[in-house]
Amino acid sequence: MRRWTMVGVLLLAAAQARAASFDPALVAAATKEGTVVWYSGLVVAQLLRPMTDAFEARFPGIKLQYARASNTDTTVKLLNEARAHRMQADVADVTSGNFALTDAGIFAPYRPAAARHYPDALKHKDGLWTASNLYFLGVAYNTNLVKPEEAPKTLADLLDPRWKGHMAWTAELAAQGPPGFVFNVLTTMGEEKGRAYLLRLAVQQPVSVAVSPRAVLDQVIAGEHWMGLMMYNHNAAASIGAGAPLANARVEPLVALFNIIGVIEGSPHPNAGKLLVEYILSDEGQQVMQRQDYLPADPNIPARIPELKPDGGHFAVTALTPEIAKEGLAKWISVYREVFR
Amino acid sequence: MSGALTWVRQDMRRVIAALVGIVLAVLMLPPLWILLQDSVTTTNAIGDVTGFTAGHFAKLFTDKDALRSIWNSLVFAGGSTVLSLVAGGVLAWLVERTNAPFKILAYLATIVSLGTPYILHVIAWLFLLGKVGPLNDIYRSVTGGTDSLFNVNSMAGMILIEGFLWSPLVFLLLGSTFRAANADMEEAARMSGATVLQTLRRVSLPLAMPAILALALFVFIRAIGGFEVPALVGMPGRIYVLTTDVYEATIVVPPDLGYAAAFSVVMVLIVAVLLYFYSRLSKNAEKYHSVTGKGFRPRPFDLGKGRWIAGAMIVANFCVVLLLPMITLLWMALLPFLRSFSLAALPMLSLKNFRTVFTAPGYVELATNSLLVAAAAATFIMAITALAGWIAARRGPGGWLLDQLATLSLVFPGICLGVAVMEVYLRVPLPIYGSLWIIAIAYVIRFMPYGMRYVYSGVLQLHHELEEAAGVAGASSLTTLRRIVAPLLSPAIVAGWLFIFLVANKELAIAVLLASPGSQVIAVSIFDQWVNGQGGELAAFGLIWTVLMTAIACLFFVQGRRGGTDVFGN
Amino acid sequence: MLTVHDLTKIYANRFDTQAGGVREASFDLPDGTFFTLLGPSGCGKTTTLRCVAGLERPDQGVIAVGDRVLFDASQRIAVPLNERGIGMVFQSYAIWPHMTVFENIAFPLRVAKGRTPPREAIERDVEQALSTVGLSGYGDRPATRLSGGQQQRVALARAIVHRPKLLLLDEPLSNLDAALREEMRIELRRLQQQIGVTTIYVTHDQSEALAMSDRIAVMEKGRIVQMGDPREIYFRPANVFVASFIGAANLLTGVCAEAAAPGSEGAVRLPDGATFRCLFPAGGTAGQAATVSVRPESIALVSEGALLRGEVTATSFLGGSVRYDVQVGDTVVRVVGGAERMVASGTPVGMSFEASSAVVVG
Repeated sequence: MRRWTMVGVLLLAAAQARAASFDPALVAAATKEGTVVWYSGLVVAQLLRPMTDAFEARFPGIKLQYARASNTDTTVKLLNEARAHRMQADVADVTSGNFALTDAGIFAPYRPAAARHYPDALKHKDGLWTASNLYFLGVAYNTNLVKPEEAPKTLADLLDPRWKGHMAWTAELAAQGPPGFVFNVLTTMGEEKGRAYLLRLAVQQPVSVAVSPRAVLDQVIAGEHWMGLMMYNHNAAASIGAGAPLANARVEPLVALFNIIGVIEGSPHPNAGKLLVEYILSDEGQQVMQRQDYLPADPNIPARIPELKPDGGHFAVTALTPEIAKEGLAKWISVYREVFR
Repeated sequence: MSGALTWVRQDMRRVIAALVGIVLAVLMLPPLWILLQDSVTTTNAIGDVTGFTAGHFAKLFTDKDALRSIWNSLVFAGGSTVLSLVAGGVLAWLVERTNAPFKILAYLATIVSLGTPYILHVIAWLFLLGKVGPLNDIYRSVTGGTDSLFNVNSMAGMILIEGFLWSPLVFLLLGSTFRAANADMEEAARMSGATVLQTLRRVSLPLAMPAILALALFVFIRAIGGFEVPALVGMPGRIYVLTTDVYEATIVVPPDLGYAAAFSVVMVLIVAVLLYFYSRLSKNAEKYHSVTGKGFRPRPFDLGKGRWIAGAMIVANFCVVLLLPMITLLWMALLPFLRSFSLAALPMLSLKNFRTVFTAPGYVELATNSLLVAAAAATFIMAITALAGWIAARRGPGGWLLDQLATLSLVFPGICLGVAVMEVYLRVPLPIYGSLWIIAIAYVIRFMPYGMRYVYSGVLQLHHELEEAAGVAGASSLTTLRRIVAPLLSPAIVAGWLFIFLVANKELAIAVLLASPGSQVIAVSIFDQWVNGQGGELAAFGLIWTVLMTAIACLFFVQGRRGGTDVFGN
Repeated sequence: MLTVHDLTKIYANRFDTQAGGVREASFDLPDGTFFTLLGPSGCGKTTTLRCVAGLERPDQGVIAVGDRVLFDASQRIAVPLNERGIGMVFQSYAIWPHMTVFENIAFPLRVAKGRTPPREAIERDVEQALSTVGLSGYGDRPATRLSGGQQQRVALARAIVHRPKLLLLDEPLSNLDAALREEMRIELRRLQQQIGVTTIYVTHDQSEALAMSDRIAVMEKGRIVQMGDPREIYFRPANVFVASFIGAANLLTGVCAEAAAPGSEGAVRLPDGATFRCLFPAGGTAGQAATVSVRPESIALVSEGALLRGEVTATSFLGGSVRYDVQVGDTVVRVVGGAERMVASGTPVGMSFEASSAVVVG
């Protein structure tokens, strides 16, 4: 018993020691800049506010200004700002399906010390971005409107006519929206069978809502729709924890994405930006993620609810890496438009 | 000693006209130019022009989706125009020309709607008519089924919501038409034996018809450029109109600005044609306009037993325009996540959202930004149009050109102007893009025509001899402007200022593409939050904001009654 | 001393061939003259006034006050309106509603070119102007609380406060009701004589013109058709237009029966044979067509020695006089007689008049 306690104490001490280490020169330079602006796709109430509180508590002289926008909006804004030679953001994050920013040279190369131990798959080869948290997208349903025994368990179950008109997904034409679903189906079932499936799914008339996946989930909770497709399972978990009549369905495979974060090239507060990225990827930042039911990218920090990750929850995933997205996104969007619009 | 002065003494008005003309041209022309340019050129990733193309327009006219969008736009605009005219017009007639009860409710509904951002109204109605809203809930409990009676994400839903978005304005404008109508004509009809309804049908309506038609065109123009309803109500139902197509083209990656510009050019042409007919109709409306000049108020019709039906209609309108949406917003604000009206939800009510609004730092800054930008825009507009409108109304040098320049932006639907302004200022090497300035500039361009109308009709109401007398008495043009025209014009200027200040805050489309973090305004923030799923907070904030703006709207209303002129020449 | 020479301003008019405006108007006014431009609407009287004021720029002509040339087209001189030092009363009075009476009247003193006079000087001048127009003590009253007549006085005070050399009045009495109008006529004339300022008065009301003026210019379609003192205009109208415009006139058309030298008497024979003597201001040759103007009050109803005969068709008792419409052939002759004796409708009557009261006008 005592041995385990010792190890526990040592681990804790080690963790504390790790948590405290940020390059003092960077901190000083960042504090001098005084502000850091972060364009993010993460949910305000769930993550951005708590992260801001934690960051500002850790670095009292720096004010964190965030702006939440969908991936496409963030991308458009950043591209526009680059055109005008007036970058306003210091740090930006988008989902890994987004390659436009990388291609346009928006990110500045920077390899954060805090992410040294992250697997290579979660880092850009030239240091343009690092993964901050993981995503698994699946089906979630309203438990007041759908009984657990009736809930779909496979992709094929989604074709049941009783769901017609009662499914919804975001209208965002990105990897975390319907195009990602198309990719999942085509990869899992093959090109021919996949297309046939999609045509039959189109008959179900899933509703495209021009809001974020989080907002679609809220509509499912409110009862506007019975179930949501391509819902982040961590979002659902957070709401379930708050008492919402919601459940994650076991429709496999889920789509695996991650969130990428990077420092902006030509930003107004470069040091503060680097510090923020360091913070988010550090133990402290990742623990904030964990507490708020996000899935930390740091392999050493587990999710609060283990079932949300594939090994803990025992579910299959289809990985959507940035390379795959770059190659396939245009095709998935055109398939979606063809079949569903 | 003979006068050795030159033949043409420098007329101060020419100098003023030239300066004002330059300012107006610099503001109003570039967006138009850039739209035209964008619609016929191709650009590379950074935005430099690489060549000319007719491809954008070709795509537009061959894409069956685009043609369907045009059709949808027309149906949407037409339906909501008719609905708003009927709702607003009937209300206006009941309130101004009859002895219906509860008139104050009609005014209250109108004043509050002047201060409410459109998007709040839309969100509230989306809930009320939506699947989990009371309408369908009641239907379900009556029929015991799980279906909905009404699908709000349909053209019918769009028309319904947009129609009631405009009915308060129709009420305001038709109200002043009816108020100013010549009582003699109607009394002659009654003396000849006609009933109330017959008089209405054969005399009152035909006389008001030019003004009604002009107003119909105006609402149609606004509706066809409407964005909030198509974006929030139509898109989820896969109903696309021109404005949402433009929006979508700008938010894909990479943005298809050429396509958006081509769409915009089509919209601008449609609106320009409609505006031409509108101005013709307005001039005719003035012919019929009978001013007795002696403050002769028409006697109200006695509705007899029909009073109570009229009262019920006024109360119904009040509920639709004001009461139900406000209750909905309150419901949303008090719940952590939105659900239908039910007793079961009552334990979950809390003030958490309101607390967040009052304590989270972003909101104060947001409110301040919005007020500042709207105030700055309103001030600048009234200053410029005071000069331009005076010269135009008095047919001074360059008057016609100034009038055209100042009203040019009417042809742009809000979203198109947003695209155009964004494009212009992305190319300007000044730090305008991304700051609050760009929104202020967009507001100035968009609302300049309203300032112009206020000043123009204000000047027309001043007898020209008042200025001539000053001239003969020895005052120069500038002195006359300063000592005579400006003080007498001030009611119109104040009314215009308040109107622009209120309306600037209501509209989403103009700012949605231009706002950045750190330079957010209310309507965009509400939209963002809606998209983000922060319904509760936005409802809480929206309510507080509405209360604030309603106070200002009361000011506007009082000012208008007292001496400020009505915008449409009445 | 006002000189206007060949003043021309034409407004192009798309719809008629007739354009509005004034053509070649000329007149010289000694100091202190009350000069009236009289005519129907569209005759050019207001245009002429506005040209003198500087509110319109003439196409041609010369305008001079004393030795100061205000306008000369050939020499390209045009003094701006706010430097002409003229006083003007507008038809609408143009009293500025946002100022008090005092501020309205003080305005010309305050905006005059050059240094503003000291406050006491302004107050003194304004008080004097107020008392001249009979509104002493009204200085603090807001302009919106004035009656029509009071507004007119304030407008007048404002026009004279800076002691202008020329005063222009644009139909100032037309907005007043009848009783006030009569009163103000006398008042205005008295004031003008008291101040002694050269005045141009524009009106369409011929009785006003006759009552107030030293000289009248009758205008028709842009031209001055007759200029003279009121008696001349009334009793010796130059043409049919002037005759019918000024006062009521009976126009009898016939043929010159007896030649006459200009300015002397001749005779005219009417189609039905009636012949009478009348004045030929422009002379006449026998056989020439002639229209004779006779004023109703110059005709007497007689039982013998009648020049014309007819039947009374209408009788109007006007209080101080009686007016008869008498049918003579196909014309109606109007006669105004005393009220002591009334002739009933339907009575055949004879009419007679002096030769000097009958003027050939065309």
